[in-house]
Amino acid sequence: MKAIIVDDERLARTELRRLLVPFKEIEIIAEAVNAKDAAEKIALLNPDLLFLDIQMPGKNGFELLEDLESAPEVIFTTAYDEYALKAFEFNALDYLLKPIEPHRLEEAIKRVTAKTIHLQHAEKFISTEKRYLTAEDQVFVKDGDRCWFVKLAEIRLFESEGNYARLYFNDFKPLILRTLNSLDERLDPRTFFRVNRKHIVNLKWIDNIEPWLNGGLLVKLKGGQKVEVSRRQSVKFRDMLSL
Amino acid sequence: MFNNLLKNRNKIYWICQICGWGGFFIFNFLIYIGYGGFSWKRAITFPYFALVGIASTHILRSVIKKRRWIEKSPKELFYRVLFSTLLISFILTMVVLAINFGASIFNMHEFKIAGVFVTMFNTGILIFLWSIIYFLVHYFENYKKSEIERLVWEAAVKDFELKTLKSQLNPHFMFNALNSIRALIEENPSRAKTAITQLSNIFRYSLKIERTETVPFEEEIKTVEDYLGLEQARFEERLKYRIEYLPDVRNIEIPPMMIQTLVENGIKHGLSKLPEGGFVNVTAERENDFLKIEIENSGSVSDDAVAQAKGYGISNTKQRLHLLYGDQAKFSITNFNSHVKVKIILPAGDSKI
Repeated sequence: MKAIIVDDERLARTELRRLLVPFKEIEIIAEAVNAKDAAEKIALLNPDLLFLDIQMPGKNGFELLEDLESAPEVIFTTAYDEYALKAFEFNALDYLLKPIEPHRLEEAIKRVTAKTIHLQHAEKFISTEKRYLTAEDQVFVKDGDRCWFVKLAEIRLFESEGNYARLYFNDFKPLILRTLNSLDERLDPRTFFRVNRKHIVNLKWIDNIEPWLNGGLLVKLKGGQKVEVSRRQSVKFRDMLSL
Repeated sequence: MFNNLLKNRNKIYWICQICGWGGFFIFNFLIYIGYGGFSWKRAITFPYFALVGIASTHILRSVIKKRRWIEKSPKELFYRVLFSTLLISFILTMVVLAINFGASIFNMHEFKIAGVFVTMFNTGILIFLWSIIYFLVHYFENYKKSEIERLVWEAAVKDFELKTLKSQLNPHFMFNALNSIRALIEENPSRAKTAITQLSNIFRYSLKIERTETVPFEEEIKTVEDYLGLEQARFEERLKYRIEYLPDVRNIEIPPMMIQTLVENGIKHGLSKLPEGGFVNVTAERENDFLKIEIENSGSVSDDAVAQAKGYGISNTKQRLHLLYGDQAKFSITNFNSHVKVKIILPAGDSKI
């Protein structure tokens, strides 16, 4: 598993590196000293795992994740920050308190590896193609105090709101700072379909489809939401589904 | 002590009774002499009257005490006083008359019903006056007592406020320091040793100051030095600091953890947010009877934060200074050229206030 350590303190990075020595499955491919540095290295090296400090100069750890198109697995590290601790506990995020206890580190690594084993096969399978964001990818979403790692598979619908996109999953509908067009370009076309100017639906969540005005279609999603398929897109949509 | 007070109060009561009625007796007696026509028979009625007065008001007092009139509302009290005044003046008049007859000071043919009313009215006024004085004294005393209670309460509140305002060690700092030390143990054992000493100094200081309102400047600045030393182990080349003061400020008493908190906040809100890091400078000098402390650091503080006294420990420090020194201490925070400068001026008392 390729990992990047993100922490502004050299000693903290050194100490974590030392603690990770016994874990042969973790290969540290880089260290980053702040969010900007980390974003560059993540884009370049595409790690499976981040050890991420929250308090850093410039953007903090959460803000870094929000900027990422798709988030790798993350184990947060923090010394003590009431606000962050609340966020971790509230959102069931994986975190380690510095100084880090070796056995807690072991538990966290076990959890992450268990989660990603099946994913690695899937990735190898598609790695030769142009890499789209698949249903197995996850995004980090923060909405006020709440934050989530959401698997794209769980997202029923993307809705455009200016420069933002609203995600619908479970009972939540937070906004992320990403235009619908940019998402459309990156999402796997086998799972996600742009039904009109304002919406992208997850095909796996479609419950039924009815004919609609002007030769368009009306898609009903599991959970009850209804979205219109524009006439232009309806043709493509029919083609796709008949495949 | 309470018994003493009680005895004292009793004494005062009797002095008042004797002086009051005695004074009344002397005053009347003098007027009587002034009008001429002195007779022993008549003169004897005055001390007599005074004695009866003392006795009756003493009974009234025991009723007042037993029935706790002092706790009644003014209206209730007024009716009670009015009623008792009428009753006592009537009894008194009757007693005086009876004794007069008995001692045959007056003869039956001298007796006039109007005279009885005059006597009753006069004694009534006396008793009423007595009551007014009695209750006024008590109200005044109660007022004083509640004033004292209020002051004691205020002092307790102030003490509590000061205690809570005294900044605690920041746990975030503690754990980060410990984490750095853990890394240093392998990398630079001697630096790790120094760091442990510095951390224990800070910890000891924070325990010590729980019991003090002010500490000598030197003790505080020693802690700040240890603190900055530890933070430098953590931030490495990203933190530069300078501490400057002349020996004449060493013994000036200052609130504990005040400079420490401000330096800590300077790092937390200032240079820890700058990827390239920055500096913290602490300077202190004596200006006549005042101590001037300046803490300058890289970073900026928003005007909003200054206005709302948020962050940087601004409101906390202001309140502490106000509680300890009133208007004599000054605090200011300014923003310029991407530096934040905190300035504190406080009275340079060399001993505790």
